[in-house]
Amino acid sequence: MMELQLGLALPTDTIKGLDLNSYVFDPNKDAARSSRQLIIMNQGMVHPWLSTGTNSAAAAAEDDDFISNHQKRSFYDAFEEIYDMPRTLPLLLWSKQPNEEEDDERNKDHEKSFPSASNKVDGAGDGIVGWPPIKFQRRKISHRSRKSRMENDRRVDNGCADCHGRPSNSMYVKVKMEGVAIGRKIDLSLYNSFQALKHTLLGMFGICQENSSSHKLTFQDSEGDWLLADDVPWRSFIWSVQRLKLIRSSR
Amino acid sequence: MLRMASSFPEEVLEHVFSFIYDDKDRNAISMVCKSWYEIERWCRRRIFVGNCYAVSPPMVIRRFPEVRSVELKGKPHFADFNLVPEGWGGYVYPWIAAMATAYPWLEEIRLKRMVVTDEALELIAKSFKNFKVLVLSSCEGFSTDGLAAIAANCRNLKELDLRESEVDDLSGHWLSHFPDSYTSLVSLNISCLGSEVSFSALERLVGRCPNLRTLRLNRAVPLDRLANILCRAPQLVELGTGTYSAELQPDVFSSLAGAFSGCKELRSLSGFWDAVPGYLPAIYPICPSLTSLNLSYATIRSTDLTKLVSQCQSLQRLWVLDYIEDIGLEALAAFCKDLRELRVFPSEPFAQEPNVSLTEQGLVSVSEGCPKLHSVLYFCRQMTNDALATIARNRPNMTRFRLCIIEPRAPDYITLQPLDDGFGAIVEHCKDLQRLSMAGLLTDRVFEHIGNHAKKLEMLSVAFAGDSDLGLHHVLSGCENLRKLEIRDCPFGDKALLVNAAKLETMRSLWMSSCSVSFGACKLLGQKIPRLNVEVMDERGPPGSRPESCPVEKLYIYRTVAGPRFDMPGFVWTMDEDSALRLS
Repeated sequence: MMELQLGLALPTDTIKGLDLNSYVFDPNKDAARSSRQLIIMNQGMVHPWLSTGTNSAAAAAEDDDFISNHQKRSFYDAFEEIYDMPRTLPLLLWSKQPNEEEDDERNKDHEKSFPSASNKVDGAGDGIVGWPPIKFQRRKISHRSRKSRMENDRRVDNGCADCHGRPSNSMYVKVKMEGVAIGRKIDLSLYNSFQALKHTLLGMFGICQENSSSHKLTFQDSEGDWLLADDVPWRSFIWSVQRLKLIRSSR
Repeated sequence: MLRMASSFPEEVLEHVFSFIYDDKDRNAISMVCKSWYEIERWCRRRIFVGNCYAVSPPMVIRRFPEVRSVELKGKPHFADFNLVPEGWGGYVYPWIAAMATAYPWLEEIRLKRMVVTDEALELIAKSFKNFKVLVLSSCEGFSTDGLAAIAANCRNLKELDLRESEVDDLSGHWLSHFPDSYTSLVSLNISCLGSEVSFSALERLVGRCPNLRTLRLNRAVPLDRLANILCRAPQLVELGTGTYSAELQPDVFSSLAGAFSGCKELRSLSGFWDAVPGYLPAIYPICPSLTSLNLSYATIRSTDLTKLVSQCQSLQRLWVLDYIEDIGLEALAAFCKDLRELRVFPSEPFAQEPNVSLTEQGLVSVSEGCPKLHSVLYFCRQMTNDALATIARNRPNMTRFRLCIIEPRAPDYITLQPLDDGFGAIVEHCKDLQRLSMAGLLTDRVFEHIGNHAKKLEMLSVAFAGDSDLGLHHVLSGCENLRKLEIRDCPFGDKALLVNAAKLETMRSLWMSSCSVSFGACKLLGQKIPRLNVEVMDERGPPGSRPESCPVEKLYIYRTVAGPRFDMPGFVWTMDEDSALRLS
């Protein structure tokens, strides 16, 4: 395991002329000259603040287990050239030379390289947490549009007493079933109960009626959250549903 | 020089200083010599604290005893997108409590992304006799009861602005707490509130406040009441409508049109929830004098939008949904030659497929046609390097450029290349660029461009970009004026941070989430650099319970002279000298 140890005593094979013990970062004093500070490293030099334990290759290999694949760069590569150090006191010295042969692996493993936190579902279905970057007030806009169009349509039709808010226009939403690659579409305006809807949906995916308890119906609402259809009244469902998904009950 | 400085009587210097308002100038004055520092601190009336944890209330009060106006910001920007867990912090109460005794003559409080409670509002209402301005921008934690306290007690209130705050909306009754004798309202923004306020109370309030300039109503105010309100405030300069939807009725339309025509000073419009095209012509008479138009909640389509913007020849700021489409943006470019700021928001942010014909071409058109355009926020689903380079060449005066492509890591859709060169062109041509948000497929090369060219850049937002620590290193070592850096889902680890550790003290803050910074590196930073607070957020449990090389979920680093804070929830840890002992 790579450990960063902070040693005050410099090893004997260190950089000529660089005495880290006497270096104190003073922005006023150093501003003029720090940009031209040069550090010349010898081949295989090890920064005193890094304890390698064993050798650089082994240390780099252990790195991989915890940090993303394409970061297995060895910072014990020789400094090939003289260059300006940043005007900071680094807690780490590092070659900044990417290893050529790692380029391909870097591109391939791009997707898998992060801790899983970002791919955690935020209740936004297939979505990523906080993406796209819009404030919560802006998440519901297309729902409002559909709702107000529905309301206008309802006023235009004379409306039926038992409609319970059923929109008069067709209302197609996408449906997916867990484990099935191809999704479907269904016109929700033709339904006024979860039972009838679920019956049709299961039929679409070839699940027979006896096995209707094998799957639960979930839907994504206007705020991007996934809810169980049975948990809300039909009226709320219809006003806010964006898409449907059938998931296995065994969960 | 020193002799000259001390030969002026204090009163003269104070008088001279009273003409200096800008914080940076005031700070410069205070550094000239000790006596100027003393004089300046006694006459500074306004302070701005960009991070409420960078300094403590007693420290501020000790240095500046006669403040009249305070502005504080709390949570990091990514809190807007749900990335900062509930309970993180940003509580304003300690500030209000301290200022209640220290600044009895405080007049203005402006807060952004802070947690404000009803207790805090009640304390404000009873502590500051001359209180005039309350702006709560993207705040939360309070209810309409707190607003009632403000309305009832602040006799000299001029401005109450709740923009985009999350309010526990118990009822609309709070508005009726403004006494009948209260007439000093200049600006009221209640657009974020859900519940209905009493319309008659609203009309009477508007009618008795002759200085009312800004009125932003909430969605619950129906369209057929708008005319009455406008007729009582023909002097309005800024108006936010309520719902802009009703059945088309000729009498409602004509009174509305008449009311708008009567508002000769109207320059800014917003609101327009559920807008129906039939009522848009009511505003046509005032369109030519509009400078600011916020249609970002208006779900009208490109034909109507095009007709509308084509009449707004004086427009300087437009916020709109992508329903405007490329064709509407071409009209904007043709007719609105004074445009300075454009924001295009997504109508269907979660849809995979485009629902409108808005592409990179729309933005290119506006960049060509509008010579003063300098501030852009643009959501789209495709982009090319060529388009970005064209925009950069057209608009070297760009100062704020924020692009979001809905699909993360989307490449140039024609060449399938990363968008490195496109953004490279932006930073190369736009030498005064202060704020940049990038999008699409981006490698370390784009960061090299940024480090080399973006010398005036102050704020950078990065998501799903880069290949290695080299990327982060380019930014931290190259961007001399960088103040705020926010990063999510990038393969940046320890090295660039540790190499550039001292840079962090020159910045306001750094946010990194879903990156690869190890707990060990966080501890090291916290221990070695005392004037940084290194906060680790991890909902999996204490970071010490995992290996040191394990990446942390979220990292928020900010400079501070106040030391570590003590109001953190259970999932936030500050790394400092003691933490190594506490957490191991």
